[in-house]
Amino acid sequence: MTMNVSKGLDACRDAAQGDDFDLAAATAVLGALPVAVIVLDHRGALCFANASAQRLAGVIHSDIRQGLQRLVDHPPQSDVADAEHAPRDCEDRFDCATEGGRALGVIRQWRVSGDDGKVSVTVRPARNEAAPDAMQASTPTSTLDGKSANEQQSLIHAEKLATVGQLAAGMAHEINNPICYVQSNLGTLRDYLNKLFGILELSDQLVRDREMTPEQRLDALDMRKQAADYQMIAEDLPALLEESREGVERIRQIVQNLRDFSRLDPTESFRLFDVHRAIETTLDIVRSLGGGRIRFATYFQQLPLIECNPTELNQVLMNILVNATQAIDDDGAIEIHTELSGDHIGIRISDNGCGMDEATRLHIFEPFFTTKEVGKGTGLGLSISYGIIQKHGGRITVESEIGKGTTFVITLPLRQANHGTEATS
Amino acid sequence: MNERISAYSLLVLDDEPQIVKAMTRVLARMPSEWLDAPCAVKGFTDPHEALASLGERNYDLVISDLRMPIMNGLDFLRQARELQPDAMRIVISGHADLPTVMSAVNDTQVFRFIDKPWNDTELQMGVAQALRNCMLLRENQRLADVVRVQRSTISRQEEALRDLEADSPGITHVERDETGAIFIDENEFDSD
Ligand SMILES: Nc1ncnc2c1ncn2[C@@H]1O[C@H](COP(=O)(O)OP(=O)(O)OP(=O)(O)O)[C@@H](O)[C@H]1O
Ligand SMILES: [Mg+2]
Repeated sequence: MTMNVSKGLDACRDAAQGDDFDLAAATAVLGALPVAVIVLDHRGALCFANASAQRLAGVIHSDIRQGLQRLVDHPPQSDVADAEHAPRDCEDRFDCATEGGRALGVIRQWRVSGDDGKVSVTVRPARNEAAPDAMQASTPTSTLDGKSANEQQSLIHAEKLATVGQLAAGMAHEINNPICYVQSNLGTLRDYLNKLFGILELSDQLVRDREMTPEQRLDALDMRKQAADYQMIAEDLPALLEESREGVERIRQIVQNLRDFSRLDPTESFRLFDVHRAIETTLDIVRSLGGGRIRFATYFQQLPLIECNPTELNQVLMNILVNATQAIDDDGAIEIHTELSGDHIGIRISDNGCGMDEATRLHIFEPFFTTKEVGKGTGLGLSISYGIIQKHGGRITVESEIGKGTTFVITLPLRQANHGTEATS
Repeated sequence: MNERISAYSLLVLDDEPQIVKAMTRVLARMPSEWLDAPCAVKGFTDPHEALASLGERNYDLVISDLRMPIMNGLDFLRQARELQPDAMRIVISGHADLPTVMSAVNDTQVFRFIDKPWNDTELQMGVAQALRNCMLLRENQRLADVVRVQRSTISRQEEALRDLEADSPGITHVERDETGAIFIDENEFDSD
């Protein structure tokens, strides 16, 4: 991957010299990019940072220069001159930044990861579509396995945070609506109660009034009831209470789902779990993203509990379902089928969204591969899902036709051969 | 002069039926000091049905959510305005960003923005003001129409006179003698 960057940049440089490319114009273009770009010289010293990078640095540190320094402060490694032997792991920032002793521009992605608010930095090498052979050299397995368990954990967490962030807007809307009507209904309830107490007080007085005939009492009471809309209140009250109760239940459910999903317990190990419950929980969250425009259908076969890591399984389902909702433009449908076959279960998730072409399909499981615009996709979702399924001793495959839709099929064994540890495939 | 109405007619649109019901309840208990007639609310969860209703009967006020799955709230309000330009429009939304607000004010002339979750009193007050405003505008329009009709009757008379004068000069200011007989200037015959 790093090799591609250098090739691409060389090509650019040659072209630039040929056409007498204006350096000021190039700087202006870099400055306007929505991604953070930092250019280092061959000693690894900072020589350029575009506006996005500076903004980012400002977030990390109140002093922008220090913030920028924090982003590049890995010590240079001496043995990276040979591009062939440079590690493929694109987590290594400096390798990508200087290669063959030359300064290279790199596109970086930053995320705040983990509990201590430390910034973890990942590098996204500029992709060169003209050299697919080099791309294939890095399969998701090799890349993910190349990481320590710790790194992988933090990647997973980072990805999860990103997904949660994406969901946040949808969730806010989801939670806001029930809050709206429950709150307003409580106000109405108070108004109703005031009126009812008014009637009660009057009847109290009437009962004690010795002067009135029974007819007069009834008349007075009826008049008061009419004025207070007694009939309407009596009819509306049960509906008001039921709707409000249902609203609170909805909020409870959303919060519960979010908590289920965001819990990250690195020590959580494999246990027996209901796949259908995982699917339902995830669907509840994803539904809010679809904004009602997507129809969801589930076709469940009777399944036994399977041995899995529930949090991770949720994450895989979430990634695939979020991708599916993003692939659907206007209105569409997502179907989920489950089935039992021998000692495996199968989960099939289909959407009738945009689909993808062969070239895209080949790369989707690679880390950082995304076709989405900057800020929308990190390209990590599927590579992490792949790693998780691999770890479970399962398989994940995809079929897709452009314009028609996409189907992901996950197969998982009922039992882990060797649980608790990283299963070998 | 201002003809009194028995009830104001309101249209409420939100994709969430419970919200429509909650809002209807709040408007039904509008303090009588704020408004001279009760509010009759028709609630909708489907924008197309709401538009159909706007094509059929008169409304004084249209209240809509912004974020709805079938149709964007701004699109809805724009069409509502085309159908019933005289009705007031209020937006109830929990997440209106500046461009949306600007577009709502400039393109669809929304009378008021109300935040979600709303404050019941604020909602009632906003609605009451919108309805009073609506009545004022209607009254202004009615008066303007009266003036225009009067003016146009006057100018129609003037125009008729001008035509007549062009046809036969002098005819619009014929002189009569004290018996009412037309006074003819003999010089005009001579020159003819
Ligand atoms: N259901 C789908 N339909 C069409 N294309 C898809 C689908 N799922 C994945 N893809 C393609 O695979 C690419 C990689 O997906 P992945 O989940 O790894 O990253 P992403 O969705 O782009 O980013 P992120 O998951 O961080 O938001 C996507 O950019 C998209 O091009
Ligand atoms: Mg994704």
